[in-house]
Amino acid sequence: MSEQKPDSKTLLRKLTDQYYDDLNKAHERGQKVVWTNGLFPQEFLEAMDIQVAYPENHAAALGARKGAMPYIDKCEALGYSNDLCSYSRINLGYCESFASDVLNIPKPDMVCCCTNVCGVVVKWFECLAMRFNVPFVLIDTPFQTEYGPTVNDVEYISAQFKELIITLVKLCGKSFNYKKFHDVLAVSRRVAASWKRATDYVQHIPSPFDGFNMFNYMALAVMARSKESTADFYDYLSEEMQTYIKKHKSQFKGEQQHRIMWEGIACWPHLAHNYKTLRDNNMIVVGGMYPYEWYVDFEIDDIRSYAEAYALRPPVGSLMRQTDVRAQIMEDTHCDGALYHVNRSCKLMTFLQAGLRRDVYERNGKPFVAFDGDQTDPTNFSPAQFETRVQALKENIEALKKEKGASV
Amino acid sequence: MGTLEHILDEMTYATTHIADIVRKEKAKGRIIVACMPVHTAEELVYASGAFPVGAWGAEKMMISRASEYLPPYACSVVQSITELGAIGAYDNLDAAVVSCLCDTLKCLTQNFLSTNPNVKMIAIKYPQNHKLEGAVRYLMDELFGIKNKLEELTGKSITDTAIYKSIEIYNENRKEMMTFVKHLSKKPGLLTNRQRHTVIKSRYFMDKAYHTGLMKSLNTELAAMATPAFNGIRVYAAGIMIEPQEILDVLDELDYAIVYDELAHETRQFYHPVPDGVDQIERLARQFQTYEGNPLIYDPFKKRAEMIASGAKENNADAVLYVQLKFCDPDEYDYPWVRKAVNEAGLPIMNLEIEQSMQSVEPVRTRLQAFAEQLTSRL
Repeated sequence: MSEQKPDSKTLLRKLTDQYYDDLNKAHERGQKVVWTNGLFPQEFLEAMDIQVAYPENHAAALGARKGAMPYIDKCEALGYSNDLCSYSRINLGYCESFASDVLNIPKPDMVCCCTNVCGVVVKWFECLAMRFNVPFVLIDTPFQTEYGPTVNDVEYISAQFKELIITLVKLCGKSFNYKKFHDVLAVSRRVAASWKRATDYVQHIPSPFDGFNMFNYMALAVMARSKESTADFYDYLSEEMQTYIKKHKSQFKGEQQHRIMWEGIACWPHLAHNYKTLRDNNMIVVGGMYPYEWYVDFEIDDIRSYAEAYALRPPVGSLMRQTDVRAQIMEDTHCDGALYHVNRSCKLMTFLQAGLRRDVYERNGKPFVAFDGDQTDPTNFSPAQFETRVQALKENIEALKKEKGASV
Repeated sequence: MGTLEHILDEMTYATTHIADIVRKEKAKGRIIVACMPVHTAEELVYASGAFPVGAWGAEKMMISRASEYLPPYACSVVQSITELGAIGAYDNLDAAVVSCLCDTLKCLTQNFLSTNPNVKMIAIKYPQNHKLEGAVRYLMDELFGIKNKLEELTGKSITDTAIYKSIEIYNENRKEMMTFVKHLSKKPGLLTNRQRHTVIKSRYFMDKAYHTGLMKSLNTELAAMATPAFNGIRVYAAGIMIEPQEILDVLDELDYAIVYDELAHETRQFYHPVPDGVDQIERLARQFQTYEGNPLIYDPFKKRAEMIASGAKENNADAVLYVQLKFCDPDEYDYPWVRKAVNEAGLPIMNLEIEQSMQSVEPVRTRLQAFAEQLTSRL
């Protein structure tokens, strides 16, 4: 009797569990553990056989499984403001106990971060370095005020890689493994290509791929970007999507009446509610930043190309480039409208979002709405507001379609 | 009226007639360049022949147009700058220099392009990894870029000699400002807190060389004055800024004296002189390299916490006033560590949350009153 192949969601769970298991047993194996943020050039760490933990991802998992509040409360009791990013509040609170019924990560031997996500990580990781008395290495990718990264930006980023290598050598007590680094870069490129191939399936009409699932699927691109198993997984996902297309199937169980771009990260504590609301309104998420964000591609033997790749993500630099990226996403994925998450925890994204909404609308004339939410603080979200906004988006999309004589 | 009163009057005029000053300078044919928070290469602006004018928002601003750009949880300084931009208050400017030292300021560089499309926005991208030689080279390149933009704006070349002279003027001003704050540290009560603030703030709106002349006269006067009897509370102020200025009046009424500060708006502006060197642009880049314990710059050992604690002790402060500008993330992340260091040094600390836009300072008064009672019973 042949064994039925698991679906991609089951396989994802298995790989994620494996990642956390490997992580939590790292110290037993004599491996160093380094904490960093999702878009850090982690290839350097992988080259030194370091187990990498991602506090943002851990916080997201705690948020999604309704386990965030005790750590948020603990963090605020330490004197941190509730104005701060909820990923950091959860993590700083978690650091006081390392005891969760949901998911755990081991203590760090070093912390490092990259400012390509935001400047808040610098302050957050300063607190971690002080808390654990461990080295803290920063890779600073300057904010792109004009368009993309400049030649000067790329030179500066490349210069910082040397300091990172020096610290890793000290931490691990061995030379930097340039051969492995070269091999790891090749794997990362394979992951980027596999991720792009899989997520490009959202461009199909109807889409076999439910774009809302990207929030979960991207976990491996975040945490295991230099693993062959990650590239294999995204290839597996592509094969699954290809099968769905042949069988006229889709992961989305509702009617794909309206295709939308979801701008921003998920509201992790409210995933089920958000998904149900969209499905009940026959809205499928096809557009989002994440296919672009995790497509980290570069020339292997060109360190400046590598530096530039990391400087380019995510698209939170100049408003002009942000607009270009979102407008292109909406075009490529044939969106009827857009749903903007005004994320209370992410000032770098939300303080430019009003301009982004206006500018993208000016480009494509597609209806949009915004809702107030938070990536992991469950208190910064109103289900009723979300439902009302989604309904308004639906009405606007339908009105526009009617105006254009398209089928609603 | 004595010299001290004349000087203070002149400085008060400068801080309360900014629009008039800008109009007068513009009428002389000068290019006007706003220097927005936090650190801007003002020496370069001065060297270009343009008039650098500080633009840190306006106190007690009612926010309306800014909400077309920012949600309510942006700090009040950037809200206020955005509001002023959107209502046309900056239309007289030729350029604005904005530093990318925090996420909110990064967004200001972009929103400003919409609020003020006719004002040239010059972003200064300071490197966070500022101690590295690669960062110095990076900043030099950025500064060269800014020099080029200023030259385009003014139509005049900025020579190395002009930059050298500008640095000398600014370093001289910094020296006099440090002498001033040290006078008030040794002799609390010599000036009111509001007067102290006015003296420091006036440097944003006056020609630096002229301001230095006033400061020299002022410092001579202060040096000659006897130490007043002061039985109030000596505080070390940390944070971004203390405005609305009514907060300073409340501090005066409740017998607090600010004996030293590390406020971004105040002493942090003149604490670090530009170091010597042969390459003028390199000197400016290396000045940034000397910054220590700055909450807006990568500080892996959180030196700021110890610096505040030891600074408070050195200036005989009775307590630290941590003036938390609402929604300022860097200060919010630092607070628990500063509190720990200050308490370990045996001093109390108060986290005083303020907004530049606050319409009433009565809640602040209540908190400061309670803190004073606590301190008085302790002392």
